[in-house]
Amino acid sequence: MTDAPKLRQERKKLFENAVRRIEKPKSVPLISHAWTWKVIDAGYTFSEGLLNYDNLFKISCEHHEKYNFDSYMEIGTAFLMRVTKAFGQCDYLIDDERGCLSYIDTAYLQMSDYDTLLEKGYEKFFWENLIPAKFHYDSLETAKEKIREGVREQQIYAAHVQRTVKQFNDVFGVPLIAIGRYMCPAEAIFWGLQGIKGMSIAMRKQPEKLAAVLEELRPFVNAGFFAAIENQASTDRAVFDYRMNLLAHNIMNDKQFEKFYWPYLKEYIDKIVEYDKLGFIFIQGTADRIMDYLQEIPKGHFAVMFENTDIFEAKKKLKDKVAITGGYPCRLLNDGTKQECIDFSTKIMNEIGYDGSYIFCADKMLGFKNDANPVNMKLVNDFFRSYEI
Amino acid sequence: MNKVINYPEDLEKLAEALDFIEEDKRIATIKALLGILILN
Repeated sequence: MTDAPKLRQERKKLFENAVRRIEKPKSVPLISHAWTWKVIDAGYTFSEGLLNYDNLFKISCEHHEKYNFDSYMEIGTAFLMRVTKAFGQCDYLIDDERGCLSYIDTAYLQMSDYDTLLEKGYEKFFWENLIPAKFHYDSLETAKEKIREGVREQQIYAAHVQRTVKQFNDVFGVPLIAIGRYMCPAEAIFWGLQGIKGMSIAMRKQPEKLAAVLEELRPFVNAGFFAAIENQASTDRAVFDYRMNLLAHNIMNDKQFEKFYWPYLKEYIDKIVEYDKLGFIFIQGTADRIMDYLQEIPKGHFAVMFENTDIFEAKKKLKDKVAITGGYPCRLLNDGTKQECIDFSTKIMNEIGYDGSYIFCADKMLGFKNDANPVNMKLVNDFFRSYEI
Repeated sequence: MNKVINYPEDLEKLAEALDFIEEDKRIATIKALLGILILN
């Protein structure tokens, strides 16, 4: 056995210190934002990497051995393409020749279905309407056959997840990014059920019914969160207790955010604080328009990761309430000169990380070849790891 | 469009197909799909 448990505890402590401000961390905690980029970096095509779990395991291990991050947004366990394909429909399109991976924005729920959903309740609507529509089941026999295939494939996937988590936790000494997830119901509508266009129209045409649908979805999308948060023990197997992503807020104006999003985001914040947990919030797109809401976050419980928001401005506004996370430009990680990378890293430490509350991460999910280059990635990691706070 | 699955009556029929899973865990396995399938 290695000294993995000790290393895991040390890594966890870096993050805890950055968020809770007990003492300054020994170094800046580093989070990898490499999603499908690591597949290309390891010399595989998307199909070879994402559809073959042995390859995917090797890719994730190689990514850690090469860059040595303290935690990972993704460890090769986020891709359920084989599972959903076995059930009957996969919404991802892979084009290995052009190095492209696309997600089809499909609407399985229409605004005209709202009444039926509310009348039946989500669980009944899920089985009677959504599942047959999404997976093209035309008879109970087809459904039985495809669900059998799907659950079998899901078991193979679960074994892959278990193997990977064990490797990261018990061999590499790396804590996962979080134990559990939270999701605002609007996200389920936005990227799972109704799509960007459908939700945009619904917010304008049927705001009250949409609000009722979100309330109906609430217990289902966060069943695990509500059931576990009270009794979940703290562990060094993950950095944060819970993580959540914001994306749907990007299509909302202030009034819509206040109605469709903020009550659920606030519920997450309140629960994390009530049970003295560590929460992670990843704000995709821009956070500029919701910065006033973020100022309500109590100190010492959250890391907030930014994508298209200026992290220097975020630090000025949020001060010591949260650990500012991310914001390191992919543009520099890909084609910045050595000096540009060092200058930007120094600026981060001078203006944000001086008090030990900065957590490094790229500003965007690294998906494709030109999102970063290995030389700059190592250079920047080395800079932050060796910087004395 | 004809209704393909009747809920909750057909859940047991769907669970029958999972003959590679212990009998007392089949329904729970089917119900757990609720949290996985639409968002992936």
